[in-house]
Amino acid sequence: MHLERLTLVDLVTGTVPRSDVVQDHLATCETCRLELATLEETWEALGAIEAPAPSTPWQTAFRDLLDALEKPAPGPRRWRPGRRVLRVAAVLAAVVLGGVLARAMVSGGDEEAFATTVVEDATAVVLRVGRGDVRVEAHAASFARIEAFAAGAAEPVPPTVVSEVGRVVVEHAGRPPVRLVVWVPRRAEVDLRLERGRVELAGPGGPTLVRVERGDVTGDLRPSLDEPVTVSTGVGDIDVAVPPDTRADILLLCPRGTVRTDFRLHAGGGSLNGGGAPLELLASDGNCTLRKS
Amino acid sequence: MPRAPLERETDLEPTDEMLMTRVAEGDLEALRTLYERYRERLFGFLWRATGRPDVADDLVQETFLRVVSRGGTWRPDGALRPWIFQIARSVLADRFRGRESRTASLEAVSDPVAPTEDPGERVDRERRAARLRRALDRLSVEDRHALVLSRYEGMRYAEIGRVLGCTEGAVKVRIHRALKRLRDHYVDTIGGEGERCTSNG
Repeated sequence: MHLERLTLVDLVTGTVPRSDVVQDHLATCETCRLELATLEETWEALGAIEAPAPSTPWQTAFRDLLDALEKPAPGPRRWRPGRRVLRVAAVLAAVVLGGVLARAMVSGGDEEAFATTVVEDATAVVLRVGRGDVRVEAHAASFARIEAFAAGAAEPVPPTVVSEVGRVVVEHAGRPPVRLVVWVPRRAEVDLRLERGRVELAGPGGPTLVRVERGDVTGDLRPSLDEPVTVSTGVGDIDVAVPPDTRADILLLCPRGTVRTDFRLHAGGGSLNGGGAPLELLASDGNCTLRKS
Repeated sequence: MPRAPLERETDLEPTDEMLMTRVAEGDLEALRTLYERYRERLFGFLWRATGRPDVADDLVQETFLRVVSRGGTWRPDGALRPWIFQIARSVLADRFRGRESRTASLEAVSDPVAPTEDPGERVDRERRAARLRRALDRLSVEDRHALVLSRYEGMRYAEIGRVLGCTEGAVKVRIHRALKRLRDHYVDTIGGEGERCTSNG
């Protein structure tokens, strides 16, 4: 009685470990031992076939893909980013917001915050906001300060702020909409997701990820050489500035809009001042502008 | 607000399936992330199927075009990886329908080489890889894909079964048969040189 071939395959692919029963059998059955050794040898030999890396940089390939998606083609190929987002947002805007939010300024101005939280030694600030406007202001100190301003006449609701070992998580469902001004240490990580509203950036320089489903992103960034920055919108424009001497690998993607920049870059981006960490501006349905600050 | 659910949400990367659902809704950032995750894997699979990097590059793009255009048929309760590889196989079949699917031998392709590798070792390694590739070429498409998805993609039998449209048992049979035939073909290709099929020389 020999081991079944399917058991041998399990052993070769590492799907199941060698049980005592199998080990005992292999110890006494030369046929199975040789059969297994041959299969394993062939399996291992396949490691010699190493795939080369794709010849095109992935950013270039991705831009090509977007171009192809936008080309009119027979059949259902054409992709329309954000259609569902648009539909949902239109309904919500009519029922919930009444247009109040869009005209509000992001900065706090002279108005007094209805809720303020300070967290010492913040290294990362995570913001999850439903509807509202958010200003992220970098400063030289090590604390994070979260100030909430009422965005309309409704009774304001303060954000939830949770911090643990330098990581600050701020959450606000956006009912009613809120305006947040968040002071962050210059090199802190910023991870901001906003469903609807506007984002204003004032000099963050750590790893930065900003995603707005519906709304614009403006302001200035100070990217460091080795920290990635991604700013993206579903429906909305991006208009940000960086210092002229910024070193970064730029990716500018807005398949349904226009790219504008006063840097010497190709339409889709490229290396800036010799290259550095990725700096990506992605607008699914909007325009991208990258300026010199 | 309970802390744990929020932290889980913010700490975890979105799954492939979550990303695909967002791609189907037209989310560009999700498409970009999915592209980053799958491009090299699809390239490896398609390169092993065609032997040509330029063709593999082209087929990866075609696969993603179909992934997007078929986004409406994506069911979030399924697993994405088998679905994408199923599409890649279909792209491959369409490209080479009625033609010989292999268009280049490995000799025409430069492998990545470790800078410290001895030139003699490199020649041996490339020769060995070329023979294995020729042996792999002689397998049936289904057997070859079952083996490649298991060996290089690390797919489970159930996933491979979804890609190939067969049962887990049939996948195992294919892998077993592929390994046996690969060995036989490999021995054929080296003829009387007496070289054995080993991983280290």
